[in-house]
Amino acid sequence: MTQLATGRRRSMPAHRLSVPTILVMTALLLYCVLPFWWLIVSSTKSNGDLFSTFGLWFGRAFSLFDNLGQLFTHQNGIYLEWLGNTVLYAVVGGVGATILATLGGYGLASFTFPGSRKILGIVIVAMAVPATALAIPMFLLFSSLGIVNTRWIIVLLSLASPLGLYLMQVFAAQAVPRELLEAARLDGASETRIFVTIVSKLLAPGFVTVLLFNVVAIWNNYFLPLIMLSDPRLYPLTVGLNQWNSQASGSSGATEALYNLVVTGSLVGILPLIVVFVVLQRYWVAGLAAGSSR
Amino acid sequence: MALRPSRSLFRRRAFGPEWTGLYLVVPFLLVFAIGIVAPLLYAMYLSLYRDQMVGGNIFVGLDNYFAALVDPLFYTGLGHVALYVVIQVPIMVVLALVAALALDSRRMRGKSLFRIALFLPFAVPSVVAALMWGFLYGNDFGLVGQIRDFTGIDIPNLLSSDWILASLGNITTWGFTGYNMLIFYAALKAIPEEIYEAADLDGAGEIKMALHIKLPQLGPAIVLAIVFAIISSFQLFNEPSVVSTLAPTVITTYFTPNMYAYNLSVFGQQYNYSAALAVLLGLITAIAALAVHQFGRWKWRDQ
Amino acid sequence: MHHRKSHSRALVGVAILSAAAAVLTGCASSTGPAASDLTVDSVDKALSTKATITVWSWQPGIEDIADAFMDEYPDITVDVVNAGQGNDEYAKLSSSIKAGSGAPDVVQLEYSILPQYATAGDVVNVSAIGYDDLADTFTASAYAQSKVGDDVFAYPMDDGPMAMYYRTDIFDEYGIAVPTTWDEFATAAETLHAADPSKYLTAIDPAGAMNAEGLIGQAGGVPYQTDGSDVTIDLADEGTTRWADYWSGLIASDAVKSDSFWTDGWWQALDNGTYATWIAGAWAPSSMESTIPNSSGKWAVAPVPSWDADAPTSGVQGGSGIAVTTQSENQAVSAAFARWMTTSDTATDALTTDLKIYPTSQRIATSDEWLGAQSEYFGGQEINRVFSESGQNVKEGFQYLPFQQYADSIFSDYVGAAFADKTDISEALVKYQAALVKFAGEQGYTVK
Repeated sequence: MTQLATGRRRSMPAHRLSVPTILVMTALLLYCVLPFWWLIVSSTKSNGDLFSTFGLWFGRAFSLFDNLGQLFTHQNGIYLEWLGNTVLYAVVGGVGATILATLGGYGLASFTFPGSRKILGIVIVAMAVPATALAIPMFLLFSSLGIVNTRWIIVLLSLASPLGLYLMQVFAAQAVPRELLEAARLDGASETRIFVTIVSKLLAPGFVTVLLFNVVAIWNNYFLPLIMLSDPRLYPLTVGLNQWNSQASGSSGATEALYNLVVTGSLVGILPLIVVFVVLQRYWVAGLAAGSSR
Repeated sequence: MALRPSRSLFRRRAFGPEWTGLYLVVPFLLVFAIGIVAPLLYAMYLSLYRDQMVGGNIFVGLDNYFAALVDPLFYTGLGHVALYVVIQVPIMVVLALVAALALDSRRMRGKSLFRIALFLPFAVPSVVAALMWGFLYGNDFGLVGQIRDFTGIDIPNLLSSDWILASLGNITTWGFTGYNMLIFYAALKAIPEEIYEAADLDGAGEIKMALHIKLPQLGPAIVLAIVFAIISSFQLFNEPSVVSTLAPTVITTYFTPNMYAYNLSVFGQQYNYSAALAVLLGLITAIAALAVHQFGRWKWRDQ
Repeated sequence: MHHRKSHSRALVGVAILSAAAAVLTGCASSTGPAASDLTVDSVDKALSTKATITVWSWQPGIEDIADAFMDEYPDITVDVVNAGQGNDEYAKLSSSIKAGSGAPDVVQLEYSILPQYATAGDVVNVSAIGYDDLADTFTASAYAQSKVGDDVFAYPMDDGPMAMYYRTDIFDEYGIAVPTTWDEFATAAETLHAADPSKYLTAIDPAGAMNAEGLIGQAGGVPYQTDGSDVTIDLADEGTTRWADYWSGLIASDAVKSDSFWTDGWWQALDNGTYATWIAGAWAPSSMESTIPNSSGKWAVAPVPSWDADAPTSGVQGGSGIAVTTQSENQAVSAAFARWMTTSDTATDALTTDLKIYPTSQRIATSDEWLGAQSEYFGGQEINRVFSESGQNVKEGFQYLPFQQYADSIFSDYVGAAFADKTDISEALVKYQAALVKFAGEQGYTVK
């Protein structure tokens, strides 16, 4: 057995590139990116151009800066409020949900206590009833407690991430071997110590993955805030942009076509998610590299 | 595998350290109870009543459920989502697996770029997706129309009732392949080095490694992805809703059971019947999802 | 034994928490404050009390009008909230009403949806508080639409008399004369499509319930009638059938196309002349001006074609008023605000000039200034004259269902499908009627 077989498989010398693999992946990449190209191109168009020029190429005038200017000033800059709300919900809700899911997933995966096997089953059953159909019962329920139409109800309701729990349970089961825990316990370490010094590092890549999912899911959540909020100043971007979008199809009163703002606003709203992904990705890869060398 | 000590040594131990597990799960269970279980119980309560415009709120027991069970509109919707589960889920999961394995392969370059690109669709909110796909699928002035004008190829109307499920499936696959791919990719990265070493595959090809080492290790992750895809498919709402403004006659208000329930509640103020439909749908979904989950637990019971 | 106890303990905890919450709401069955004892006096006096009211309206610019109100009556604070347009707002309104809290004091409601909330007792009957005296300040059309039965439930804010917007360049190019009757319209449609198969005289919206209702009303159809808990649904009556057969013919012969309105593709088609006309309410111009500015100058406005050349009639599509909710704890102030907003010179001038909505004020609707206003987008035409005439010719008598929102939401499932599939609309109406009758029965109505 050569020394190359042990240790860092990842840092082996580069293999010959697989052309079929690259072709397939490139096709997939283009497929994924095409609609974005449409979004970028559309953001540079004015309303007039949006509806009279070809979607995948630029229009007659380059209106990106006009659109951006209008975006941030329309209706007293409510877009910025929406952006701020979205960040609040996604960051506080996302981090909170991921922490709860991580603790829970670890608890379910690495400990055997009565009911531990049933909990995931119960979670799945509860998730099986669609959230959209539960939206109005949810509203009625929380309305009677007087806590609707506030920012905190959105954050609170975002903290439950059943997917996160399930994901972390799978990751923890895979990445945290029981022998390690038993050994540490035999050494006399407390559970807290074990978690902080050993387990958290092992769970880091999973944590980052779930964090990413939760942040994106909350960032793009539409129904929960739609039902719970009636004050536009509390809306996240999804609900706000949707409202602008329907503002143009009027049957009563004067209407204003805000399509160009919807498109530009959507583009601006996706950028932070991309940044988050790129940043988290780096930490994730680093975490994975650290985790795999034990 | 030989390194694993027998667990029976620890199974009968005092319930000391194992209880930590429960404490760790309680915070989650708390928010879960408030955010998901409570509304669910309230919805079940609502489903036992009927609030009429003339007559007020009356207790009707299981009448709403009986009505749902003979409602042809419910079954039409159920048929659509069942097709989705059977066709779209496997396609998407396989695609995500292939992508994850490709990214994990040693014969790829530019992985970061691909990861970001594949993940992007998941980051798009539905209002934007509606606009984008509206353009792409547009028969006259959208991309489809333009391609037809340019090339003369007669692309069928992707928003007609013959093609609509495929078109919707395309949107879902587009939106969630990256998401599933990330799950698999992270799981792949978490495969311990020892497994590769023990299999002694110095110089082995990627495909062999994929089939004999990686895939088996991915078992639980694949089960998870399938369970969630099944639940999402039965609950299909966003994609048809996104397309409904483009094709309002093809995407009826009862195109999926979830849409049916939602529309009844939002446009008809029929909160009670809507709740019954939701619970019934949930029951069917839960059975399917639990079946897969249990299978996964049985197959990979020692992992 | 240990094992079982703690297993259940955790689950019981969860169950108790959830059940407690569920029970709490079960008990909260309030329906808001009882119908008020408002009087003309109390409404007048309300203007000098100190209060805060919330107004839900999707009309852009209402905040400015509210500001003007607050300048005049500094003790009252008016909080304007855009809770969504149309259906989005109604969903929130309905769930707030059911929940017993969260509804605004004043709410904007389309005339077609007004009966829904009026019959449910969710909005205040303002006939008793001097509304009848105000009848002359409003146009006849607006006043009629703010009534449900013999009582008035909303202060009219805008109106939607229908008109036909047409492309002058297309009409010139193909030598088409502006049709004044539906017969002429049919002939013109066939001529245009034969001359250029890529063009249509107009498009029809499979989700266009309100447009259909407006035109059915014009044709003399009265498919819906409500009397207390009795509801009559007859979509095969003379007027409705006249409408159905007419459009079935045009769609089947391909002279008119079924297309989803408000989509990218549809706007493009309007812009480039694929659809030579658009039949809609008087609110359309501002939409067109901001969405498709490139075709400015190529459009003109004409009255909706009539069935009878000697007795022109018109219909309405859209239009809304503002109503006071019964859940409101400041009903007098709210009524005072609503009255001010729709009758005071300050407000009505602003509504017409700044917000550019169609006036319901008789004073403005008959003023030379408004009538003579020229529209650049429509080639300098005095478009308001057309709307005004249309508003005066609206065929009265059309009634909306007490669950019109639901009826409109399933329109595309039945009638819209007939448009898209080019099948007989009358047959589709039979199925539509069956669905509506079923719903009415489930709601406790006696269907005739």
